[in-house]
Amino acid sequence: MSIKRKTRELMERREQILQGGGESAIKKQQEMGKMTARDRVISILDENSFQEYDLFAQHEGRDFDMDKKELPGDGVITGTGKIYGSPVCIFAQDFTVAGGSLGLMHARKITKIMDHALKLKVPLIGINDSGGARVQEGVNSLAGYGEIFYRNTQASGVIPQISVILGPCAGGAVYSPALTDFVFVVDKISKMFITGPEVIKTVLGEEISMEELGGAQVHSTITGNAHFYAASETECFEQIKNLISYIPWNNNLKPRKLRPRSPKNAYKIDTIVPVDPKQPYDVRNVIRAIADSSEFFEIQEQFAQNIVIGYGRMNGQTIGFVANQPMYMAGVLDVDSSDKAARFIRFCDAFNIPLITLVDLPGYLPGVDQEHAGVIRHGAKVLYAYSEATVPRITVILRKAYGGGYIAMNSRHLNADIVFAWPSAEIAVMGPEGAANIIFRKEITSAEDPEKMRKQKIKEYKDKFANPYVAAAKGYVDAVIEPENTRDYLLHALEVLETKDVPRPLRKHGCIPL
Amino acid sequence: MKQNETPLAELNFEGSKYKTLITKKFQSRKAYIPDDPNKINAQIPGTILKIMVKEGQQINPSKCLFILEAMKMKNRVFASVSGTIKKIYITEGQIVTKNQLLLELGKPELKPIPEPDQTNQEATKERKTRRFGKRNRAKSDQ
Repeated sequence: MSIKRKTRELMERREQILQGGGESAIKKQQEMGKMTARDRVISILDENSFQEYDLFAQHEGRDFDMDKKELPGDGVITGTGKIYGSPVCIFAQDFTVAGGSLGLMHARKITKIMDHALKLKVPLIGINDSGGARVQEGVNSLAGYGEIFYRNTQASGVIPQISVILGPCAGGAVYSPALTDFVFVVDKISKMFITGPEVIKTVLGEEISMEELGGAQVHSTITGNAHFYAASETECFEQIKNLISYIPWNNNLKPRKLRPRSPKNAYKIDTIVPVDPKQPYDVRNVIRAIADSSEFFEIQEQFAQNIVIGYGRMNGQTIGFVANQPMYMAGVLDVDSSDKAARFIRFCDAFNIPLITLVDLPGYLPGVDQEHAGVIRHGAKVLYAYSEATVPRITVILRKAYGGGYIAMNSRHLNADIVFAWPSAEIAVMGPEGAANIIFRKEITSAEDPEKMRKQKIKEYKDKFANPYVAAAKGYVDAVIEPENTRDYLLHALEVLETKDVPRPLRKHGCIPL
Repeated sequence: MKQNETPLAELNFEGSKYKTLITKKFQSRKAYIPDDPNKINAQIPGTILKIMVKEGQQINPSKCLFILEAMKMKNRVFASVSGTIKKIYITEGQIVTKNQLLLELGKPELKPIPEPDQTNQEATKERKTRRFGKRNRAKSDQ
């Protein structure tokens, strides 16, 4: 046999497997509005950059007549590729092959590419579209899941891990995405839950649709499990590429630097923020007013909207922005916003991304529901995350910064590198109304006109304490700055902090209150 | 901007009123209702297997009220206070949802059944077994 004939045989074999689950299964997939696994991989990666691994893998099922079945690639496509020239490892479950179910070989292909990603120290992208465990393979499929979870954990903080939910992802399978850094969902396509609607109905008698239980909307607004929400798969792939451009390949590198660009003139920083601390505004516009090209890539846009997190660039360098959002809930910290911010801060710290914090909040949200939901434990995460972070940490206090909320938002006391305050900043133990009511209680209640006295005392307190200078006098604010020059101050600070190096105590790991 | 879509609300925070949008989650939060020991609600969704009490009957915390099967477990449910059964809202075999009101107690009468103490606990156990018969007893302990 000549090598040409052998090559032809290879082509034929390859052609067979490339068809996945066959025409009818592919048609079904498309009818559900979903792309095939192979199309997805090709759409995410740079043109002609995909190198497939284990195309000829065969499944291990021997019972229940499974040995007579052919499962092309065992229902998963794995390999390496590039996104904007950056190398990544990728796997995509193929729903057209046995419902993308996870058997032993399927899992081995995934763990192999995960090991590879960890060895190469490049990001890992996992596309989930699977009916769950391959029941015929029994305990072997459970082993497969466990081996994936173990690697997710080992890779955490070493390489960025991205999960894309493009179909069902149910039962134990959800824990792989849950262990990764970013979860992408697409409207009407993504479904994530531990127990599905059918089980819930038979066991508990509660009726609910898949979409209502664990659809894309639910996870991006209520649970916070998803980080990016898209209306279509194509939009989702654009988001993934955009994210990859902001983050480094691994924890030893810095994100790739782009050419510095000025913010757009449309965003005038000194007109965005009203002076009255009770008036709302969109803090994202402040970020746009200081970030390169006024570009801000927001994460978890719909979840816990009272805090804003995401990436922008300063002088071409990726920056993680954390900002209280006075537009929602006056920008308070609560259970959800604390979780959201703390996780983001820790990712930035793990991957050498400097943090800029914009502060404008009245404090932690009071209420029985918050206390009972554990706002103490969750709120502590913000303090912990900032305190342990060793990347450059810069704070700008825009307006109000009261009480525990002020301390938590990367204050000088948590060892921030530099704390700026605008002249409109109010750093105080609490808002003027609350403080006056406590300090001048006697004067107010014993006055002839208590309401008038209260107003007078509130004004007194405001005049004396509602400013940045009391804190600046103690060195708690390092510099009071003109709002219109904020970007220049930040650029200088970032430049100076380039060489920041903080020795850390010898320990296995801290014990963050989870 | 979303500001135009929903009207701004006032959030009272330590006496200061902030103009802001209210998140859906905050809006739909439930007001705190203190536990009423006289109302027995389903702590978990499931099926009522057997009801051991009748309306008007006096009970104390050691008296099993009913068996609620949930998550493959037969849970024996007790009241946390003594009292009289005012109203039973369930029937045997009924599927109940979480937090559903199942049973209501009235005020205990002047002479409540004395709490079993260490010395007569054995006796109470025996009495119970006799009353429900061996078969039921075995079932409820599964």
